[in-house]
Amino acid sequence: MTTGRNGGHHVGSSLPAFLNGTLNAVEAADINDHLAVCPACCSELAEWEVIAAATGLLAAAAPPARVPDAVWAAIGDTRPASQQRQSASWLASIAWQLLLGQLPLVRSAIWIASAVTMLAGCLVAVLLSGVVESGLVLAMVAPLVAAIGVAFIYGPENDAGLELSLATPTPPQLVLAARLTLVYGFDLAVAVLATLVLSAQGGTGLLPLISLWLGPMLFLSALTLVLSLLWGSTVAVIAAMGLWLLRLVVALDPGGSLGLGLLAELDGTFWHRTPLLIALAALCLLLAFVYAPRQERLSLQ
Amino acid sequence: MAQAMTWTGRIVRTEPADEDERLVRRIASGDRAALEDLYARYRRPLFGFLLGIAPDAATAEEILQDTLMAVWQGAGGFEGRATFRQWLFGVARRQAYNAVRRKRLPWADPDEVEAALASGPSPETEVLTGVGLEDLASRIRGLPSGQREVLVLTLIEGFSYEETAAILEVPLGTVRSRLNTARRTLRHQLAAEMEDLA
Repeated sequence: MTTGRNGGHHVGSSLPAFLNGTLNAVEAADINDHLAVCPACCSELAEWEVIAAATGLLAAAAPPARVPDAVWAAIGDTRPASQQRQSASWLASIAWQLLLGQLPLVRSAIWIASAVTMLAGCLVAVLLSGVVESGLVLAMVAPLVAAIGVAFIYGPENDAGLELSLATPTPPQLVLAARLTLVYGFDLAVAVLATLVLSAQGGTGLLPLISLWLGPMLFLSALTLVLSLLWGSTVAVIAAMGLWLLRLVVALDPGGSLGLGLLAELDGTFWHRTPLLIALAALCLLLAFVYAPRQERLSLQ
Repeated sequence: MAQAMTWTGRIVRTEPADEDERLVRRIASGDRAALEDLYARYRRPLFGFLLGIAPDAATAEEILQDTLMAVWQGAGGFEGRATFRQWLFGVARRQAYNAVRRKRLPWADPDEVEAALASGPSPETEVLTGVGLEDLASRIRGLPSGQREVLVLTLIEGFSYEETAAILEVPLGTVRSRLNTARRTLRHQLAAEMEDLA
């Protein structure tokens, strides 16, 4: 409401609700009182009456008689979804369709950047194999690649079609899960491929190599995801890179000459505790999935 | 079954909410007669809503069919968090968006005309009341669909602002602003034509 020249408040924004009778008795009485002294709002009410009558013309027709027959023909023998036996193949088909549907909505740069960075990391590991243990290079590259990719999978800044997505019956958590599966799955596959190459080249066992990056990759990606939902992709990437830089500094300073003390000790052991990293990753993912619908709502305001 | 007549002369059936919920439960259990009951009860308001937001009657008819099929398939998903009418119109609105996306039809941004409306005729200038209803109706059809849908849901289907916001999945303030923008757009168009004629 805005202040009117009659000392009261203009009630323009409430007039459609006044007309359709959805205001409570007190609100309606207030508007009646105001209309008695405000020509501008009376004039606006008259306009709303005309608009309503004209809108009624648009919506006055009955549907054609053929509609029910067309619906029954389309439904055929299909039973409601709640009555269908939800077999594993049916669920797999739905999941596959969901993944395919989300594929075009993920930024294409993520795929290219992830693959190129991992390839570069793999090449560095091979070239420096005499100087640095190849598994360590992979352990530094793979988690960061996945984390940066995951930072850009969701949210209004990464999804131009967010409002249309909201209009579909697919819950936002499923959309998030599908995109996470696509991007993380891709990064996981690329990392495994790189590990296979390094394992064959260096003669190291596959599982020990994977154990070097799997836990950190899970945790760092999950943390980046939740940070990107809370404060945006840029903040998430900066946080991930900061954490990783610290890890790099600690790794390059095994003698503790930089004087990082307890911090170096904690950082050095933290990234090797795979069960702890997996538990923390699960916690971050839980937070992300709880927060995703709220984040969509806020983004529309 | 109680009936009420809106101020525009439309008959609104005021079914008790629990009767609607029984109906949707019957549909969810695969009762085809319940879907027929639903269609008989809501065909006019649903089609009216879709005529108001779809680009043409053929598309509205197509969306109505899609809506009934979606209700048949998804009745089990009705959890009673909103009223049945809200849920039903929400389903219809999603089907409309799906049709728009599928057919690549225009669905204009309802706020994109805001900037063009910075100035306009004063509130006291009677512009809209001096125009024929048919003419005004065709202008309303030309409004962005986001504005048309709030006009139909509030002025014709009798939903409150809160219910309209829930159906459209937008904040309450957006409903108010779209209504206001729709009225200002119509006034602006007509005032500009009057000036041209003068």
